Amino acid sequence: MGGFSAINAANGWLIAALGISVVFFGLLSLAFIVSYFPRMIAWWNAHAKAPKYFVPWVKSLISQPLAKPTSSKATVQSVEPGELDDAEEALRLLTAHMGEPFKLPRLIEVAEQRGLARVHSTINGLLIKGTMVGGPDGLFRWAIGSERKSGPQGVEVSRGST
Amino acid sequence: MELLIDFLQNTGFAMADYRNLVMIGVGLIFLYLGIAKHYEPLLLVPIGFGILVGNVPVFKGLGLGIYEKGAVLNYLYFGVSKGIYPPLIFLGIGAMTDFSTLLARPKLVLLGAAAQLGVFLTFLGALFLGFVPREAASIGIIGGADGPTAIFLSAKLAPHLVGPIAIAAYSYMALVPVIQPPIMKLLTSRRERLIKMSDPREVSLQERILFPIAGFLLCCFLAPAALPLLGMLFLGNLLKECLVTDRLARTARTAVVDTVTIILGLTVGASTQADVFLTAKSVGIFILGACSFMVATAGGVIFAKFMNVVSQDKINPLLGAAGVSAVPDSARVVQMVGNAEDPSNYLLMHAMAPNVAGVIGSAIAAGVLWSFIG
Repeated sequence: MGGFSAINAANGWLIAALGISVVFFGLLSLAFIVSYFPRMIAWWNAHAKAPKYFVPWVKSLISQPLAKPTSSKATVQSVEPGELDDAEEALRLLTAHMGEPFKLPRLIEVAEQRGLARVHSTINGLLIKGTMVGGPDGLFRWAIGSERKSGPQGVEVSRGST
Repeated sequence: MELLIDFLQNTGFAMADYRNLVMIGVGLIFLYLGIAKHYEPLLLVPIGFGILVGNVPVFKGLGLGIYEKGAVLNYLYFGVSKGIYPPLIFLGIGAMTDFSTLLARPKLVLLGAAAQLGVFLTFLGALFLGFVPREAASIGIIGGADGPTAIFLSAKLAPHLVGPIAIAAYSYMALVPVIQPPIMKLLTSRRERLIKMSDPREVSLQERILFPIAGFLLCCFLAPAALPLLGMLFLGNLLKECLVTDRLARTARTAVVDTVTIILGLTVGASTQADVFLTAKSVGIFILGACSFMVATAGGVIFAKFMNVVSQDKINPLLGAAGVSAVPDSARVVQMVGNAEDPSNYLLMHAMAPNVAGVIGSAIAAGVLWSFIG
């Protein structure tokens, strides 16, 4: 048997139409996904930064039992979102372990050992914000209550104590 | 004296008929094209010699012929008849292929899909000429211009046609520089052939690692029957790109692929014994295979022109011809034709995108045909 009747008998038209459609759909989907790779990877890279300091921090939490914070009433204000907040939180955990007031060089040293990124600029940012304040004895502590300054947008966000 | 006569009657000289001589002539042509003309020598030389091996007349029953159980060649042919060698070749191809150009310009992937038009139109043509559906699907896949895929599908659907289909597929792949240029020139204007492509963006390592994983999952979920081919293709590519398995990638693209190519070429060649190869069906397969190849080339070029109509970012329509897989020959032909019009126009790198997309497309097409008809 041959001719169009053979094509009809074998569902040839349908197989050919479905076949080319599946091939097109498959490769079109592949092209679509591939075109989003750069964005997906950029997103991943942006969010994969956090573990750089969180992983050592979490490790330190597991390996060392923390002492009770010396100033349990201290409240924290944060006016800047993102990295500074996270770094501040990590520094607070370190100072809770070290005790307040603390020596700034010692805090920097410990923070660097724990793998915190850009420790100097982070502490500088916190000093400018007034989150961390220096005393006349050359020692530093976290600001409490009225010592706190307003943030750039005048917004004060209160967090629970560490 | 009687012993001497018996011996003479059992020699190839006494047993040969004209069909053996014809096939030996074909084998010699393959060897000539491979060695003297450098047309796909890595394939044509083992296949050509295999044709000579398969067409030395042997005494039936001695366990010498490729179709005789227990024969050495029959054991080697097992990898062809069970579809073992093609996935191994795909592993090597994956470990050799750089998908960067495809990742840099994903829309060129569609040209690899358009070129598969030849597969399905030839399938219809074969049905029209009276081939049964399983044979028609195996013949149609010749248009994918991918030898391992053609062997894989025909081994699954029409094992008795593996020889003619493989020979047709590899012959047309070797003749890409002869078959494609006239079609490309016929379907494009000089102005179109002069279109220059902008430089592709740089592709990161992360993208190249992500691609084989995402590509494998997507394509194989869509066409699971393509799993043996695409699984190995993407595995090979992942071995290459992830950098931590360089030793495996090197083995896949050298020792594995070379060994399998030798055995595959030899056994496919040897399977073309005159009595099973020189038939009217083989003639039909060769004619349909040529049509399939030409339609595939035309399909890619026409679709590239269509993309230029609907898209602001113009592409050189010659790239469509690279959608037939035939890696990397069809990409080289695109470069050659484009370069003939403008010596400063370099299309090779861009043509590799539809070229490797064609490999994926033809494997999906094979998977689809197998699942529909198998």
